[in-house]
Amino acid sequence: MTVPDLTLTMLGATSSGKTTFLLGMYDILSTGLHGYFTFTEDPDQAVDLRDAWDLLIDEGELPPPNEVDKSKYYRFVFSHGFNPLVTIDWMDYRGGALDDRTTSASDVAELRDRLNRSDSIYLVLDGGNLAKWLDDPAKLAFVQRKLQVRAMSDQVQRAMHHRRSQNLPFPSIVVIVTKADLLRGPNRGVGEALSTVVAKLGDLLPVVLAQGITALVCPVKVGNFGESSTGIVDVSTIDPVGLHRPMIFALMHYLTLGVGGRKVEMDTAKASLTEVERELAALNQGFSAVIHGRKANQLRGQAASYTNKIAVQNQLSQSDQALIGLLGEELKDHPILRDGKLEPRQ
Amino acid sequence: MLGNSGAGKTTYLSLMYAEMSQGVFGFQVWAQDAEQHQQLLQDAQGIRRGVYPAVTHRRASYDLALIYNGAPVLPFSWRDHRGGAASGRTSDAGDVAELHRDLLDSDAIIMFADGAELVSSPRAARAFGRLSGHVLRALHARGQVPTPVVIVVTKCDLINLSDRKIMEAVRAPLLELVNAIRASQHIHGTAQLVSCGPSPANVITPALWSLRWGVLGMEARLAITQRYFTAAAQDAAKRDTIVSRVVAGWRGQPTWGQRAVWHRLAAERARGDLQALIPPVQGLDKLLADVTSFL
Repeated sequence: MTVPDLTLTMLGATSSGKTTFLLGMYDILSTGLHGYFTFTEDPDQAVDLRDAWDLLIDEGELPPPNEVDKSKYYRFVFSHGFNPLVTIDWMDYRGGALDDRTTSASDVAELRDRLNRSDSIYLVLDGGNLAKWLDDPAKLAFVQRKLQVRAMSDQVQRAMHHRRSQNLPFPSIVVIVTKADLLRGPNRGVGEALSTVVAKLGDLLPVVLAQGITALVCPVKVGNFGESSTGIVDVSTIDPVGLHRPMIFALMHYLTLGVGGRKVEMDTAKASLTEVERELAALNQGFSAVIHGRKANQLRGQAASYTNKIAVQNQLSQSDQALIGLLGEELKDHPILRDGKLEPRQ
Repeated sequence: MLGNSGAGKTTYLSLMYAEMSQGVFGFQVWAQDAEQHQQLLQDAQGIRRGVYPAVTHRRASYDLALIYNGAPVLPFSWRDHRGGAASGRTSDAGDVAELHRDLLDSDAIIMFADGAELVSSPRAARAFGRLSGHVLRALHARGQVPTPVVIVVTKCDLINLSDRKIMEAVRAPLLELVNAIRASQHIHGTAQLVSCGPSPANVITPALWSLRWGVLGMEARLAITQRYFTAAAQDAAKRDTIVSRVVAGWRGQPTWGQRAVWHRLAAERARGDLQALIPPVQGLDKLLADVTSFL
C-alpha cells in the first residue's frame, strides 16, 4: 500500500504557542492516543522534541520563540497502530517569518513556495488575544494585528490563487486556537466563547470562509498557563487537550479529496467500459463477428482492464471511506466549515 | 534489548543466563565465549547477594545458543544496549546509531520498563514513550516482517502486584503499544512481570518466549527448503534422459540424475533438521502454554 505524503505548514504570530503545541502534540501522539501514533522519521528529531517537552513537564520551562532561530522542519509518520496512514512534511515557521519587514526576500519566496505546495495550513491564533476581542469587540483591529491575521490571510489567498491557476484543490485549513482555556471570560465558558469565535470568523479571518475551503476550528491547550508563552510555568497546571485533532483533520480532508478523485476516475472508467461494450455488441452482430474477431478480442481485453480498474478504485475508495469514518469520530462536535458554511455537527 | 537507564537490562540478562545455563526442562542457554559465560555467572551470583552489575557504558553483544537435551537448536546473538542510548542523539554517541540499526535487524525486540518507577513516577511513563517511538519507527521501516516484541516490566518485587490501582499504573503507559500489537497481524507480543533481585522471578519466560519465535521461524525456513529441494529433485529426475546424459557428458557438466541425487540429499538434510526441531518446539509450546500475551 502506498502511503500518501502530506505537506503541512504552520503559521502564527510570535508567541502564539506554535512550538508548544507541536511539542505537546508529539508527546501525546508518540506515546499513542486512541490507537493513533506519530513518530519522526529522524530519531534525533524525536529526542529534540521529547527533551523540550520533558523540560516543560519537569521544570515548567516553555520553549523559546523561534524568532531568532530558523523555521523548523520535521518529517513525521502518522499511523493507526502499526498501519502507517500518512507521512507528513511539517514546517513550523518562526513567528517573525510573516512580517515582511523582518524577513529576507528569499525567506518570503520560500514561504510562498511552501504554501503553494501545502495540503494543509495551520493558522495558529492565541486564545488569550481572542479573549480580548470577545471581551471588547471594538478591539478587533488591535487583535487582528496582534495575531498577524492580515499577513496570514494574504499568504493563504496567494496559495489559493496559485492552486486555482494550477487546477489543484485548495489546502485544508485548521484554525488552531491555542491557550483555549483563556477564552473563558465573564459570563462565558470556553464552549460559548468558541461558538462566538466561529460565528464571527467572517470578521476576524474571512479567508477561512472562502468558497472551496474546508476548515476546522480547533481549540487546544497544553496547560492552564495564563498568558505565558515563554519562561517558566507551574508544572501542576499542565493539562493537554485536543492536540492530536489538527493532524487527524488534515489527513481526513486529504483522504476525502482522494475519494472524490477516485470517484471521478471510476466514473471515467465506467463510461469507457460502456463505450467498449457498445462497440463490442455492434461487432458481434451477424457476419461482422467473423471478420472482426481480432478487433473484438482487443475490445474484450480493454473491457477487462476497465472492469479491473473500477474494482480496484472501488476497493480503495471503500477502505478510505472506512478510515475517514474512523478519523471523523475524533472530530465529533468540532466546528468544520465548508465553503463558508458550518457543517452540521455529527 | 532496549530500555532506559536503570531498568535492569544487564541484571536481567545475567539472571536469565544463570538460570538457563543450569537447564530448564531440557532447555539450556550457553555462551560461546567462556569469558562472557564466567562474567554472566559471576554477575548473577553478585545479584543474589545484593550486588548489582555496573551500568553498561556501551553496547555489549553476547553470542549464545539455545540447547535442548544437549543438542544445539538455535544460535542467537543477544545485544545489551546502554540505557542512555534510547534517549540519546545519533550525533552524541556511536552506540545510539547502533541501537537503531539493531532495532531494524533484530529477530526479536525486548523492551524494558522499570515497574517500580512506572508506579511512582510519571517520568518513567514518558521514558517508556520514548522507547515506543523507537520501536514504532523500526517496525515501520521493517514493513510486514513478523517480529516478536516482549515488554519486560522489571522490579516487580518492589511493587504490590495484588493491588488493582498499582497494576493499573503499570499497565497505563504500556496500553497504547499493547493495543497496537494486539491489532497487528505481523507483530507478536507479550508483557511479562519479572523480578531481578536476590530472589529472581519469571526471568526465563521473556527469553524463551522470544526464542520460541526464532525456532518457529527456523522451522518455517527449513520446511520451505525441504519443499524446494524435493521439487528440484523431482524436476531433475524427470529431465534425466539418455540424451541429456550424453549432452552433459559432452559438455563436462553434471547429469540431471546426479543433480536429482544432490537435491534429494539436500531435501533429506532439511527434513532431518526439521525433524530435530520437533521435540524442542513441542517442549517450548508445553513450557510456554500458560504464558498469556499481555498483563
